[in-house]
Amino acid sequence: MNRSELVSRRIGFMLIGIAATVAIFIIRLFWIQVIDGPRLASEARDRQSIAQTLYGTRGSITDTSGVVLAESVERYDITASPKFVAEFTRDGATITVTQALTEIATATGADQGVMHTAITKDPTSDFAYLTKGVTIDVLRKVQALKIPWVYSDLRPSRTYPRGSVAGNLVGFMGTDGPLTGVEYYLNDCLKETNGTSTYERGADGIRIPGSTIVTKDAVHGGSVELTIDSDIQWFAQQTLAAQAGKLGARWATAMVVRVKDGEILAAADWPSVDPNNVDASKVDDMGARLFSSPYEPGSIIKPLVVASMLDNGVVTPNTTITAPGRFKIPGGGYIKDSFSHGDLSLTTTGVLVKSSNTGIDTLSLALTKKQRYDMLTSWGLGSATAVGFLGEDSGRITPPDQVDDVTQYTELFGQGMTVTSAQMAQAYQTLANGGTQVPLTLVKGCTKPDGTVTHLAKTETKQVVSAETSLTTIQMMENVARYGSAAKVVKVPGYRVAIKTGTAEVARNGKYTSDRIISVAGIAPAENPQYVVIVTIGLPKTSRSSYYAGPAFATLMGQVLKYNRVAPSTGDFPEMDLGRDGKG
Amino acid sequence: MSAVAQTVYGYPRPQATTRPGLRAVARPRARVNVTTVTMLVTALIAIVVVRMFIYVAVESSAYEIASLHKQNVGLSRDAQFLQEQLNVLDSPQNLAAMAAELGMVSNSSPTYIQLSDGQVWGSGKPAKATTTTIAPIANDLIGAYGETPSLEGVATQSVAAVATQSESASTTPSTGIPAPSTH
Repeated sequence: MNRSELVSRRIGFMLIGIAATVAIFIIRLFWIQVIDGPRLASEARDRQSIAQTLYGTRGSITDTSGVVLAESVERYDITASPKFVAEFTRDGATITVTQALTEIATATGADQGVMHTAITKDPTSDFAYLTKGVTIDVLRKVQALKIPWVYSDLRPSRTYPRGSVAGNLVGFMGTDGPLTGVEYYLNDCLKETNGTSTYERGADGIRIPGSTIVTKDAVHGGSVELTIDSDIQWFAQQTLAAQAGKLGARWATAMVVRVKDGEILAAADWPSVDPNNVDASKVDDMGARLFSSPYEPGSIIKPLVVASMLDNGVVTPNTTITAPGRFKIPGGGYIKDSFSHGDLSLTTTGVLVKSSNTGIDTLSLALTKKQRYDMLTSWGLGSATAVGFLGEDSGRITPPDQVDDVTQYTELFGQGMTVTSAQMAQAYQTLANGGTQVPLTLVKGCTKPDGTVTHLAKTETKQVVSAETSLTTIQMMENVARYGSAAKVVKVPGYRVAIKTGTAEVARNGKYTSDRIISVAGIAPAENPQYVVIVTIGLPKTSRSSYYAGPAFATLMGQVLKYNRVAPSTGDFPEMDLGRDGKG
Repeated sequence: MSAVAQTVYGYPRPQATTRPGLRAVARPRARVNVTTVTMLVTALIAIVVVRMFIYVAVESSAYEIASLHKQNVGLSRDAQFLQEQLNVLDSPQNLAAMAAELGMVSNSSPTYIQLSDGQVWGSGKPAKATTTTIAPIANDLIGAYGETPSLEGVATQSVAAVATQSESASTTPSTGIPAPSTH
């Protein structure tokens, strides 16, 4: 072997050695980067990065002027790590566990015994709740105690600053989500989606700058704006509480609707749930009866029947009939009035003023079953309103092919059929708006954080009766306000009002009982209708006549007109012929 | 060797015809410029130091950012909590209770004066003081935050807000409001 061969061999060995080393490196690199890469990366992240929940905020519910009715707020859970619970030194003094718990109890108002159980139940555990849902000021007090084994967690919560004002509409949340009201039925608008992010921190717990990685963005919920005016809503609830309380009633409702756009300014229930303290309410009082509880409305249906008959040319305001004490129903049976009387000579206006059942049936004698049915349903009765509130009822008008001979007549004075207060408000809105029905609106819209607006109100209108019929009917109702049974208590100083009262008998098990639902529905100012107010009081004990719903109606209507700066009425009262027996 | 290897590609290499003249040159004296070296070393140290300062500054900014961030979170929580309490304080229930406490009475039959011709609608009678209490509309939060704040300059039933009113404080009617000439 000569020298050059030797050199070549050495170079050969060296190259093989280098190649082998490089190969090992490449394999190792491949292993780390590709085969074991994800596991190592996640292990590294777990060691350094801290995962955080990015809380999305549930949207708020506001009234028409932006007053917050429901909003999300931050609350804090005070937690502890039982395995680290021990006495500690603070400012040179030794604080025992009992002392520490006493201090927390003083700061939070939580029960010391419960907290003691929480930390001693499983001493090896790393987590236990001491108390839940405290406010920031309480949290600061707890933090100031500098107890090393006490921590806190953010807990997004829901609060209702107006309490039971509109509580019947807003609804409330349970532990796992919305339970009722707007919270429930517009949950798809309001609900938030939580996101996640991670950041890395150094040994001293300080976040390493620029290390935050948002792994999933939090999406905030949209906000819902209602047409409700919380001040009027409060006033309505207040008025109901006062009057219904006086009468010993079981429940009461009131609705205020703006005539021109069908917006509901107040939809009040008494009693109404306080969403901040749901347990204080009965289950029956947690929803909105206005939408969900159908009832037999009684005589407040009559102006609608009269308007339809005027519009069809069946009657005129001066059509004079004899209202008998007993109206014999063709086909059997008879109908009476709420007061006993002989034959009364009344005009159509007189029938409304005296609220005569036999009179209205006499006026309708020429109509067929189908005509009676169409008349009632044309106002929207028998189908749910455009609001479509959670659990809204459609009421019931029996179809002409199923209705019996008696019911087709009793329906004309609001018996043997059911409606909701919302439907009645919609019908009166139509009557007040020159016969044009504008869909009842409770929700103005849902505004998402990016500015898109959804859930806008429906706007298709429907002409139910002519403007002329509407005007005439309202004038007839002004005569009801002046000469009817509740004339003394429905006056609103400065304004001309048009009303109709209703005293409905409550049926149980197919029989009418002595229980009543009393109501007054009205429109003001009569010469230029702007607001509709309907007050309904359920099962009053002391007085069971619609007269006693009058004061609440007048108070509420007066406030609505004053609050909305409606100019006092002009023009003269439209005196009409009521017939020989129409007055007194 | 095949014929291919003999093929010459490209230009033929120029053949040196004459040997270049080579001569020995004197070795240059190694000149150590102390100033330059000092400058370079100083610059190097300066760069390291500056870099260190920047690094420290960035690091301490991280602490400052962390502390400001914490402060920001704390303040916005305070703001939120105060707003929350304010929303309860200005709830109609609370305002009504406070108004009643001040001896205010709601007049359910308002009176209107039309400024252009002085026409009066309504009875013009003041509301009577009533002893009936307002039916409370429940709000569980009022108990928590709705305490009537006692502020200086706010009247209560026993204390007037303004003890004396100076004459100059009375307002003169501005022009533009239609008003009847009354005496």
